[in-house]
Amino acid sequence: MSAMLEVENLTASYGATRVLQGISFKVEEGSITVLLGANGAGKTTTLRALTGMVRTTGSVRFRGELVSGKKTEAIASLGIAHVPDGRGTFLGMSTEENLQLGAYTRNNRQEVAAEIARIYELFPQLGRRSHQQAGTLSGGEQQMLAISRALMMKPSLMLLDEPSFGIAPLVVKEIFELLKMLNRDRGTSLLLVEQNAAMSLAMSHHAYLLETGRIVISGPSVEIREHDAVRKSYLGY
Amino acid sequence: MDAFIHQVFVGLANGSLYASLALALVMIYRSTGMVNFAQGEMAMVSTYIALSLIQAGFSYWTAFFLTVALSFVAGMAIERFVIRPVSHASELSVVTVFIGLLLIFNSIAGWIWGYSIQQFPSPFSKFSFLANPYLSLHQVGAVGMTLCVLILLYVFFRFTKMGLAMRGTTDNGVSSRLVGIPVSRMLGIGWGLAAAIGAVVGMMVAPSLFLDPNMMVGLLLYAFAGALLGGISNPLGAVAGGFIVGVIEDLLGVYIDNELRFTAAMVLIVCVLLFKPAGIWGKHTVKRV
Amino acid sequence: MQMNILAMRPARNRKLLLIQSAFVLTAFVLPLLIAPYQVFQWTLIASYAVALLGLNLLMGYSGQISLGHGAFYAIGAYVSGILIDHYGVPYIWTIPAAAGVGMAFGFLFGLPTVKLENLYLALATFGLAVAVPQLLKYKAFEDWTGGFQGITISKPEVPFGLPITQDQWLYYVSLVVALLMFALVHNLLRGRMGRAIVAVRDHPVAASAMGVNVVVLKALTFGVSAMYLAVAGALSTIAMQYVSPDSFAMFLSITLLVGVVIGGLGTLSGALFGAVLIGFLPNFAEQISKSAPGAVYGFLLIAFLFVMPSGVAGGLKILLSRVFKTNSKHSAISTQETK
Repeated sequence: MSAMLEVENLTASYGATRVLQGISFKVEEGSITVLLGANGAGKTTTLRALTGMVRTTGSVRFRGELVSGKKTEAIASLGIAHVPDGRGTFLGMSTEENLQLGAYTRNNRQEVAAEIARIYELFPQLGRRSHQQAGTLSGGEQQMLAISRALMMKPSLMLLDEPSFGIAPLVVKEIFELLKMLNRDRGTSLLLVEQNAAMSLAMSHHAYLLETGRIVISGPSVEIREHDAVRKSYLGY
Repeated sequence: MDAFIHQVFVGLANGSLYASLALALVMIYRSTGMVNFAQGEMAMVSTYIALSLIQAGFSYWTAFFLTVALSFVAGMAIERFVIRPVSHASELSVVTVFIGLLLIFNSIAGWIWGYSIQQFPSPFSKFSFLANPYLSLHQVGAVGMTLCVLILLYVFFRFTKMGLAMRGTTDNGVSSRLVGIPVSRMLGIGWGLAAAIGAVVGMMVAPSLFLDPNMMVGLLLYAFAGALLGGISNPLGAVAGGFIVGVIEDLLGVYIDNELRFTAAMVLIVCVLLFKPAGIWGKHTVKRV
Repeated sequence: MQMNILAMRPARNRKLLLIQSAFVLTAFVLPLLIAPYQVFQWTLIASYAVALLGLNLLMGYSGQISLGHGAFYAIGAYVSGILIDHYGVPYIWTIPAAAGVGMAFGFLFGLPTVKLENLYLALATFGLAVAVPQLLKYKAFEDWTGGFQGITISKPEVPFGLPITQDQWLYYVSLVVALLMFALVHNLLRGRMGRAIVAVRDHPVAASAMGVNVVVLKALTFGVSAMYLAVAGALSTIAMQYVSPDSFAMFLSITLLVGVVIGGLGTLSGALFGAVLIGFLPNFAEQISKSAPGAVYGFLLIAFLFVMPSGVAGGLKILLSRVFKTNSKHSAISTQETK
């Protein structure tokens, strides 16, 4: 049985500069996979490559179907939700409108409304600010909003770009708990891209280490945690 | 006092013309983030097409709706073939393309239909129940039409999925793609709608101003001013702005000096903008740095 | 003639200097080789080049939009005309006078309006472009401006008994002024003010945090660019011996905009290419189609933007870098493209 996401020999370039040197990895159905790496390793580029935002070569298959080369909006409609770096908030629109936009590909208005209500239960802060301009929300709130917006897409695979970035540790904990719950209860597969090795290794099943555009280590997260090189460089002991 | 009221109504009548063109500008702005300086010329060409249809024997309303439909298609085509290829260039280059379009449309209209003034029929001349001492029948009808288009636009942006998606597209194109919105198609539709509105505007303006290739040139500036004054992101505000500009300009012309009406109006508008940079009813987007 | 903030490699410097010297030499020799009407055309091109330098400073380097700079051109032209006609000021002194007036008006106009976002600034300048011709025709000012008919002055005589025609003399005057203005803006952009201008364009908040008074700087830039336009206007009055309100309608501002974009924003050589374009395009357009020259104009405009979006100067740069295979690693930080 093929994995949910299969990436083979993926390269990505910005103009003449090649950032990904031909990487291969998998995301198994129903798992949480993390892509670790320092700044400049190519983590964000990888996610962008998966959703057709940069020029690529190599193949990306989602549930066996070839998606590399497709347009971003087409890939999104297949059930892949990408929460980009910087959150990608619709700054000039209200919190609720941000959520409604997430539901663009869905047609059942009652379901969508019910989903929004559920999100407000999960994140009361968003509920309180439902009509406030999204650009005025704090970093942590915008991250919650970004994840919620992705949830509105009813995705089977979520790509998250550094969800812990620039957010207070307590809020990060909340967010990671939520992600674990999503994976456990809804079976949503997650591909996380992170610098925060400790927390992400603790909650994920599989891990890959990216260094300057190449995958150097891969394996189950429990093993990666004990790996000497990783411990020294990324976990600090 | 009666003379004053009369002037106000004249100003409102002019203002309705500015307001309706302002709506087309708002439409393009909200769906593409650009102000189309060629909007007036496009509207003018649409009006000529309508005239040709009427002269070919179609009834007014048939010609009307046919023109609106054709303009919609033309708008989409312009977006696809002229605007999209340069959309990644600088803002100034895009503005220059608009001006190029302006020149082209203006010239072609003159070349095909000539520069002599033509009459354009009004569909409201039979509605005698609208008669009143201040405005002509057509002016009342035109104001009504403007308000109709306004309401339709407001409902579209506020309550429909596509309207929401369009607003999202201008707000954040990348995120829009990531939620599955076909951004390029949205832009095309936005242009089509703006062109359609422009056609309506042209057909409302022509009976009063008489049809010639330069009919819309002056109007564009007033419409632009009205849209910015009221708030270019807000259809309601833009329309109100258009009416206000019409009244102010007329009153200034009568009570200060007819030659300086335009200058005085501009000074006033710029002053207002200094206090309210996003327009009177515009939404000032707060950006966290 | 590129603007490089970092020092250029000596070899490239020398090549550039060679090209520039060759060009200046050609410019000086030109009027002796061509017919009088063409000398007149090139005199006007010199005036347009100065105008485009100013507009480029504002739009290319400072990133502010102006649809109404024709107004400052008009102001300069009229200052020159009025001083000559009413006060008998020698024409040469009207040029710095126009510069001063242009700078003052530009700065004063800029102070309140530079705070507006680009769209609103576009409107304000658009309004300026339409308002100024109206004011020039206004009855109350007729004694000064000559109303609809404008002002006519007499053709300047060739001084010192030089063995050249009046047309050629006017050409040389305009050429020298243009070269001076070019050198001035070149030095301006290389210095502190130039860096501040670009910094403010690219990241106003950061620049402000570093102590740059954004509003004053932008207004000053506006003033300097207006000064250039005014000087260009004065040159045109001297060259044509005539100034009238209709020559400064909206179309002039549009023409200048076209010239600066096609020439190449953010480059100084772009001003020259744009000026040549403006000088010859209307005739060229009329030759193609007598009845629809505007369409040709607009079509060429759009075609250029499709094929050469960074303008002629940008296209040339790409071509030259391929021909000379210059190592671009040491080249300047790219300051050219606005967004």
